[in-house]
Amino acid sequence: MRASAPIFALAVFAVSASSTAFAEEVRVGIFVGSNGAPDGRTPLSHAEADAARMRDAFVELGGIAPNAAHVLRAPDATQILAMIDHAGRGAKMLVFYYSGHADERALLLEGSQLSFAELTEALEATGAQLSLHIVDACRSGALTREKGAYLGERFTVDTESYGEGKVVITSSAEWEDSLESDRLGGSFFTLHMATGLRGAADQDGDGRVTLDEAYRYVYGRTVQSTLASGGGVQHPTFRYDLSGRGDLTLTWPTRARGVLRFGDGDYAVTEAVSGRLVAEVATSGASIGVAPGRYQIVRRARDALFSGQVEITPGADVRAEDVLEERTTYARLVRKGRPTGPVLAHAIRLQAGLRGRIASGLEAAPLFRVGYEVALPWLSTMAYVAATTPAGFETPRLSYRTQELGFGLLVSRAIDFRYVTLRGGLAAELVRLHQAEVRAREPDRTSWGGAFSAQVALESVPIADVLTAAIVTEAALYAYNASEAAVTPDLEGGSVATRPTYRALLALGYQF
Amino acid sequence: MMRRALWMLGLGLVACGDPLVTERFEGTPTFELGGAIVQANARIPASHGTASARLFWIGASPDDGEQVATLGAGFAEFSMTLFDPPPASAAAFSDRVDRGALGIGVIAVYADTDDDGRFDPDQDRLLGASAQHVVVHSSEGVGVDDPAYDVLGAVAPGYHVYEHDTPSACRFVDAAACPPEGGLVLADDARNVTLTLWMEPGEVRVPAPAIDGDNSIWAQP
Repeated sequence: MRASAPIFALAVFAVSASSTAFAEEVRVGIFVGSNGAPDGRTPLSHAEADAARMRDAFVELGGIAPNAAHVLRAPDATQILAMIDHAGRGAKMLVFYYSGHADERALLLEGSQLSFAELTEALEATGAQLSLHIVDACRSGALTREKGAYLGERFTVDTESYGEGKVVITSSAEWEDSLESDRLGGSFFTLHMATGLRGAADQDGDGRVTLDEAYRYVYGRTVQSTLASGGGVQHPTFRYDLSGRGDLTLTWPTRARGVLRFGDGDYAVTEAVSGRLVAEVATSGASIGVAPGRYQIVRRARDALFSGQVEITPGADVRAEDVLEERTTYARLVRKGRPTGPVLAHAIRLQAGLRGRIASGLEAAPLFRVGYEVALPWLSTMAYVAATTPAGFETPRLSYRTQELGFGLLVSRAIDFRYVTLRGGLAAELVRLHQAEVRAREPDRTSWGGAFSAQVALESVPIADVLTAAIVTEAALYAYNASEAAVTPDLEGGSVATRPTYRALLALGYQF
Repeated sequence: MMRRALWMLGLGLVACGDPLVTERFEGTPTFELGGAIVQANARIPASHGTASARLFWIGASPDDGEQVATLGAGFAEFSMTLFDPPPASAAAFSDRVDRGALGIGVIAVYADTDDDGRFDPDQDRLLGASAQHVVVHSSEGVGVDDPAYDVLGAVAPGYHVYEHDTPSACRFVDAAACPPEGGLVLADDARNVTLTLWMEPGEVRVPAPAIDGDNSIWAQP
């Protein structure tokens, strides 16, 4: 994930009595996303995608007509002001959303700045009756400082229809960063806001997501997920200056042409074709409205992922649990590299088998190996310790036992099939070969060498989600110090011997 | 060439420590001797079987121990590497020292008629012996106070090769024809032991010399 420099999102609802072409639109939305960065700041990755995400939520469920929802990607200050004037003038409700860089005084665009004062003046000049500013930026809580920041406190807008005034919701307190997540493809705050607007925030189940519900939802989810992210906790803030009666409704999830309902667990919903994350839901009993289309639904359990795809047709009302057909353990998930899946899996592997004869004096022997594996999306690495039982051989007057101890590192790549996993890898090992004369007629001899091997393994699908069984075969090349001399004085120094052999093992793995 | 050199260098860096031994390894020698085989009137029929040479200890059974000499190609030389002390029975002269064991042996060549790798007095035939040299082993050494000192002088623990200080033209096994004469001196070079072959029907004997009262190794008839 990436902590964004101050990014600033404003959503303004405005109502005006003027009779411009846009005045007939009850709600207008301007959604600005700017990945660009001014000098000295790091470009963002997902601000523009977040703007599109918010636009979709308001168009599908928030009563903003498609032609009244305007997305600006990487605009300059002039373009933003022009759009506000063009689209917002005369609107009854104006939503202005901005995601990008900002500081305490201005929106920081690539190559230009738009001061808050100038922006506020432009928004107010539209004459919108009600404005909603949604800010997704580091330290954006400075916007709510004027009237004091409210953190998680309930409020009610008392207006029969829309009321009047302005509401500002920011993604973080003025001293906090706002975080993007490469894994989610967006910022925590905007993702949770969009998910809430789609229906997850509808706590009373009345089919509406009010401003209060939306804020309380995005506050709780943002705190929870940023706390777990390790990048620093984010506390969304809000400020309001409203009059009227009744709760301000932001969206109507019941207007959605398709509905997804969720039970216990953590769910992620992505568009099946584009892979774009639509919503993350962790509230049991929640439901979200989605446009017709094909979606991938994933539920994360402790050791596995449950997933499935569903085609949402107009009028569809689907339970997510009914869609989850595929169960995948974390190791396979890591290799799939899905954005919502884990990026790391671990395993302990026990192996037993046979190491072939290396040379005269190094006879075939039972081999045992214990390893710890870390699985990454593209490859796995396993550090291991291997040892053989003593293997004997006779000379004209002596009787020897030779034992091997090895410390190795295996790098492998796995290909998952439906019932098996095929794995291929290369290993390098530091090997200690020890020879001891049974009757101690001669001193023990210890040679340090290396073993290099190529491995092919066939691994079963997980058993009880955590266990795997495998057959492992290796072609190995040993290099060690050896001598063909018959008497001790001729052994001096020896020479490097390289000998090929094989290893065949049965393996048991425990994945976690 | 460069790649091969780098490959070997890499392997060399990997492999270090004591060189491991193979099935050919016999161990650490404690004594080595050898020399020329002199063929005096030698005529070894092929029917006599494989020629072998070994160390025979006076007073010990011919079967004791496996201290075998290696015969060179062409029957012109031999060599012998000793790793272990002689068998326990090779201590016929231990009464001549105050402590430890003292043994004296000769290297003899014989025809292993039955090819069983052992010397069978009833079947195999002696073909020759180290008439001028003997092998002495002392486990604790011989000091000035030991009776054997008069014959052998001071002897350090271990194996030694002694030679007669007087050349003898006698056949080693015909004690009657070869009265004791001279004494033993430490040989200058253990690798200059002479094996003399002989071959006359009816004159093959099992060697049985002993140190007698005259401090000669030849037994009195």
